[in-house]
Amino acid sequence: MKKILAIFSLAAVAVVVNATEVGQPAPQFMLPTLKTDSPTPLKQFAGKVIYLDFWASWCAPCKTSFPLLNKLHQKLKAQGFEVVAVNLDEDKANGEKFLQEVPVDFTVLRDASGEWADKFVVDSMPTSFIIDKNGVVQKIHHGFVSDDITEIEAKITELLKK
Amino acid sequence: MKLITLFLLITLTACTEVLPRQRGNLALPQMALTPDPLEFGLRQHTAFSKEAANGGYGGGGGGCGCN
Amino acid sequence: MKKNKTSQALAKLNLAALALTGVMQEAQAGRVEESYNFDFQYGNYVESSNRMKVDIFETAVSAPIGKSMTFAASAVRDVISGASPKYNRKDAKGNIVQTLSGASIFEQRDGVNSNLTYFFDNALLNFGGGFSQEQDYTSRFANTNLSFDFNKKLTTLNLGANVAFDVVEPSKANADCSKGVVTNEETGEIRGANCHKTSQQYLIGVSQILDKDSLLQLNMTVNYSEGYLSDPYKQVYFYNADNPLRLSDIQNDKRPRDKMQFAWLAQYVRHFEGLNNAALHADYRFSTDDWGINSHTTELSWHQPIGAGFQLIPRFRYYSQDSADFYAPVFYGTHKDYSAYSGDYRLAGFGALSGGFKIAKTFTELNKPIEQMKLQAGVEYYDHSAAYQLGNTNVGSFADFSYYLINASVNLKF
Repeated sequence: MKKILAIFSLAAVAVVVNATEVGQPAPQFMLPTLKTDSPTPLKQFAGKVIYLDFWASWCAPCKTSFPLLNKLHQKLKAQGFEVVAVNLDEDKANGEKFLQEVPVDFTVLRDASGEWADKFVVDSMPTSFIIDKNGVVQKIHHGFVSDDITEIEAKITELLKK
Repeated sequence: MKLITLFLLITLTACTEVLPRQRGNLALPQMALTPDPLEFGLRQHTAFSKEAANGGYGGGGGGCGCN
Repeated sequence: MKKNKTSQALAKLNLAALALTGVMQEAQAGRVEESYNFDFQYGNYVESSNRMKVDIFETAVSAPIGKSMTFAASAVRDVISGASPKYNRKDAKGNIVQTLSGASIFEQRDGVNSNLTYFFDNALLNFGGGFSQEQDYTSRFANTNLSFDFNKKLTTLNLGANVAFDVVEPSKANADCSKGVVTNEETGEIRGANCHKTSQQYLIGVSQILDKDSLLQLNMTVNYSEGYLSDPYKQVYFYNADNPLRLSDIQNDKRPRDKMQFAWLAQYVRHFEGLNNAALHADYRFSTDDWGINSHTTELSWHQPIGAGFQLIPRFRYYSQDSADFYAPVFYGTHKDYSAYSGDYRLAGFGALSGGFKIAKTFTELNKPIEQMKLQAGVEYYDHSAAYQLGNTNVGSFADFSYYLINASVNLKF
């Protein structure tokens, strides 16, 4: 019985991967865009405040978040704010269909194999990372409800001033 | 006691590790434990009024793991 | 004018109303659904041989409240008519014959229930309650459910508790109910005094994601009922032990004053990517109680998307139960020789085979504010026969019957 409990508690402890945490630099990825497959590096957005969002077509909160993020992007992009959404659908067609229903102006990339998502560690769908002008992760946000946009906007505005 | 052992056995043989980003299939409506709650209620109510068995159903889990 | 209120069929559904409703079926920890939902369902239930007919109308709504709560409510109306089995007797040759209630009844059952769910990051808490009312039956119930997600949300532990307080006021004198009878001065109608029943059900279960295409749920429930558990509209015929064709006594259905029941359920769901994202649902449930009834239920359904938002869902179910210790079609001797006795076909040994088919269509390109609309229609045929019982003790087909259940529903998401 004790042995079983020991093994169980080991299994229960989340397998700790080197997660990207607040205060660490964001991993520098190169991912293709969803629509045209053109390779896009994260450093293309260096010097800007970035909202990096990992999403998928089957995630209901993602449908809620996109229109709100699009509006925020339109509002603050002149001040140096970018939204980079990384699609994690295994089938590209599902991502494309989602964008037809919820069109957005910001950059949409895709990471079908999940290689980069795993380096950031995406604990829930969606998970987003707010990255400052120096490429350092300043906030990690799990999930999404419509009220979240207020605190996200506050954090972005704060980082834009720095 | 039996139930606890069963619970542990399940989580150990925990089968494959499924990452949150891999839960797309589990999020499909037809993959919900009860895809149609109203119809389920109707059928259970009907069966219960004609049969002696009762219980067993209830609880949630699976799905997309969003939020 | 004297109302002829032989609500036998009603009693059947009454006892069914004891089915503890409001068990949360689909809420998932940490997964707030921010949409508003509206559902309407119509059901039509028709038994063979012009027995019972029921029309069922149900409406349900749910709405998010703030960041972490969902409120849901539903209302149902059953309109019931027809006859139902009242007792078994022997015909001139000594064969068992089931006799239905004489007059055709007309009854209505109304029920409402509501619940509130609070979502935490890795857990969910739900409280609900409601009541159900008809001419001679009232049920008040409350329930609570708790779910915890573990293991990176791959494992969910579910706990539930349900309690129901029921009052039966049978519309004929029934000495088994606590105190005496009441005569309505105006109508001359005689009603039994109140009979009370309390039921409690507790659930513990685990849902486990096995891999990205499959899910398993294991539940155990314990159900304890006490009070008046008999059927006030059913009777039991006693025949003379020495002269088996001679009727010696007729008594009201008399069951023990408590019942303890356990059930174990395993539900498995599997996704088939290659078959256009089809899903298989397979359930098995075993239940046992201290009235001596063991039952097995197996159900399989296949959810097949066929493009353009359509799904076809065939379903198959097999059910088998033993008879209760105090069940017999007819009894011998006098009622004093027995502590409990019932001839109710629902306590007999039998099996049931049912098959159904449903078609569903989901629309997503709609005018705001409607985000999604789903239409469904289905039919199920259910065949109850003593011959289908596992082990087949086959007491004869006198209680065999079948029914059709048709249902149609619309769901709107805002």
